[in-house]
Amino acid sequence: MRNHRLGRLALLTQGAALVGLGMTQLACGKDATPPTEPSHVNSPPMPRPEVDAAPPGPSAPPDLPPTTNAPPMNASDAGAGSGIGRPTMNAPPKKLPPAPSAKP
Amino acid sequence: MYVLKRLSGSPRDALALTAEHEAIARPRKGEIRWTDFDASAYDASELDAAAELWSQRAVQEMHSLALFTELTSQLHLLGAPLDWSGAFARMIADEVRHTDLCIRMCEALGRPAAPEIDPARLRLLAQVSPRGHVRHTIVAAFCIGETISGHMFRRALRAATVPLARDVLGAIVVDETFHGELGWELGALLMRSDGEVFDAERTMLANDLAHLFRHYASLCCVSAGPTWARGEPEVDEGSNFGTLSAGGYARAFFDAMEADVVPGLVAIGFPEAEPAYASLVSELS
Repeated sequence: MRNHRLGRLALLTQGAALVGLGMTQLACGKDATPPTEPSHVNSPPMPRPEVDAAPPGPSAPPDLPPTTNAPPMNASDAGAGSGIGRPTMNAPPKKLPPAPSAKP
Repeated sequence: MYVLKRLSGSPRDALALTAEHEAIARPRKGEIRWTDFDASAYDASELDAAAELWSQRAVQEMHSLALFTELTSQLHLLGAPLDWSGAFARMIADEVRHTDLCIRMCEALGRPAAPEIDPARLRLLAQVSPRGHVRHTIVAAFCIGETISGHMFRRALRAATVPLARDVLGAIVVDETFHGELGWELGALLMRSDGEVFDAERTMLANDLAHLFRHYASLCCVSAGPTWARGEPEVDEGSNFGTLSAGGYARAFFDAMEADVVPGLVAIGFPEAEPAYASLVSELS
């Protein structure tokens, strides 16, 4: 990496932070205000009013926990690698790196 | 586990989604001369080995696709400027293209691929704050991973003797060049401090660099130090479908680390990268 590029990168680190800490910061701020705009078409559904809280009828959507499309919740999955031999730059790191395959 | 299929239907279905995918999957520059390739000109064993490599690469590219997609959704929770979303939209399209090219390469070799994907390995769970997680992922996957990957693909392109492999690798290298540039810009922008929490996050990542370096070294077939890697032949004998020898992959790792990764990490605020790399080399030598 050439010096001028390294210098440019160093300059980019200076200045106000562009990325915050996430939704918790936004929701807990003293200036947090409720949204005034109507929901976007892709907004999550609003909670149903109590009159709808009757037992579901035959056509009501089942109130089951998500399963098939839920992300894995097992903490041991975090950082699991691909385990395949060829170099894969973005396989998540394992705590213990896999042994190199005989075939690169 | 599931088997990754390339398309949802047959060509006669004329699905709009397939047409859009094909448009995204076309190379940004140049063209790939699929129909010029004559598989009968090569030994079956060479075609088998090449198809295995490209099938594995399809899985790797799918990992990148899932990772960058997840990362994009995190950015939307953190208030990143909109141009980050645009840049990531291209990144995602690039990884779709790469996965598609790898699968098509297997088809061209006469050995259609059915790569198996384990969904449990496609997702990284947040280990620290969302912002810390995004920074950690960008430093690992872009500043280290994509930088090494760029070196590796450029060497594979130089080594490839089969014209079709050169076309496909050329399309991937165009994208990888952008990925490397984007990764370092993002890494630098994410190193802007806003107080004590940032300092704690930075220190946590700095302390993890040695582990990350070892991880990527193992992925690049590194079994000894840079002197060994640079003394090995870079490619195996025979027709080359875009592969390197084990020593060639290891050499790409060491060269990328010394030319780009370590100096880049120091420049964006990780002076710990130098002793971490020195420690790795010392262990290996």
